[in-house]
Amino acid sequence: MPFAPGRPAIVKERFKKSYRHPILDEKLTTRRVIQEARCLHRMRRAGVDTPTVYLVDVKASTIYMEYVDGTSVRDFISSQGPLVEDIEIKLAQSIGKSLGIMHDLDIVHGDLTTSNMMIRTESQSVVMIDFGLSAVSSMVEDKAVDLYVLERALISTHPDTDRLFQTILKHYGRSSKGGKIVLKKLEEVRRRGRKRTAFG
Amino acid sequence: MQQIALPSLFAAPSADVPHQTVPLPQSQHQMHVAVFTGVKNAKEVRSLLIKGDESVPQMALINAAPIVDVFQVQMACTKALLQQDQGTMKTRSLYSEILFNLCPTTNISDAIRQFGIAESSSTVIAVMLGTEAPSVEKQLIDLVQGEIIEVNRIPDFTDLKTVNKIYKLGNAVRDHSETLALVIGAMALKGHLN
Repeated sequence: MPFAPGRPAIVKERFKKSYRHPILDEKLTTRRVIQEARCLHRMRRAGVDTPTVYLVDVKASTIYMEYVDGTSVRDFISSQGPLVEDIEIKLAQSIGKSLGIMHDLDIVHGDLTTSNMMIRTESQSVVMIDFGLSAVSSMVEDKAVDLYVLERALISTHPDTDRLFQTILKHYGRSSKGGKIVLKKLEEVRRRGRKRTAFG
Repeated sequence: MQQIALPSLFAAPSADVPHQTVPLPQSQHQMHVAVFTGVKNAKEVRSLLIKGDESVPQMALINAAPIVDVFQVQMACTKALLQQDQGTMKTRSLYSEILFNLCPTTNISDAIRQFGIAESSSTVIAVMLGTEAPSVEKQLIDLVQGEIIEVNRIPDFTDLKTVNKIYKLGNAVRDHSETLALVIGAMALKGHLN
């Protein structure tokens, strides 16, 4: 939609969940709208490219944000076929670094897929989007699961991206302070899957 | 005064028509802006404004030093109109709400001090909101002694040191669009950060 001249915007509204108690629903919805906007802004401040938050209308549970002109990483990989090595390295470096900074801010994305990353047409910068499922957590477990979700998503949407993921992890480990511990945990998560069993 | 459209917002859809969005009435408002530079009588204007003197039209007089771009003012105005509609204004008038919305913190007196015209202001942005062009243009020109310049020259008069301090951006060197993005984000998340 046209927002201000030359600044198209995305309008993201959270809908009422009629199956929830109205008061509870309002509290949860408000909290999540603010949470999403706050994550976008904190990441941008820390140097990770995210859409600019223009306005948060708490009453209407709506976020107005910058419309990013670009393609999703998913479409980019699909259109490229096998990635040329230096493009792959650049992409992985950028994703890995962004994820490292994000986890150092104790932000867990909650839905890391290549559809939730974009490449700006103009600057080629990788943009992290959709923090609708994000949470604040300092737990190594949550961060490792975040990476595991990305790994599974990569495997299921793009064949032969093992090397890409390995390079992402390498740069993740370099940029994140707690990266090593998370990567170690990732191995454990891989063995047992995303959900922890209730029995030891 | 230059006329600038404000971003149009949408009303939440009603339950029975889940996919229809309706433009809010404030999207019919226009922002009327005049930027004065080389202002010689800021001190006098400020005291008249505080007295509520008749020679001062109803408007916001913004100190241009912490303003990065006209978009920043547009967003503050849009939010003020939205809050007026919703009855959630935090200050007493629409124009003080604009100053308040420019500020990243929730302290009203800080906002007025940082973004309102100061005694030392040499560049001042006059803003009025309305559906029609204001009739007080002459009154405004008589009041503020300075040269009127184009709105798109606002970035030439930005004091980045002040911007970094008010919006807590550190001292890193950024380009104009990145600074603007962080400023707009800080305004949008006013009161919701931490």
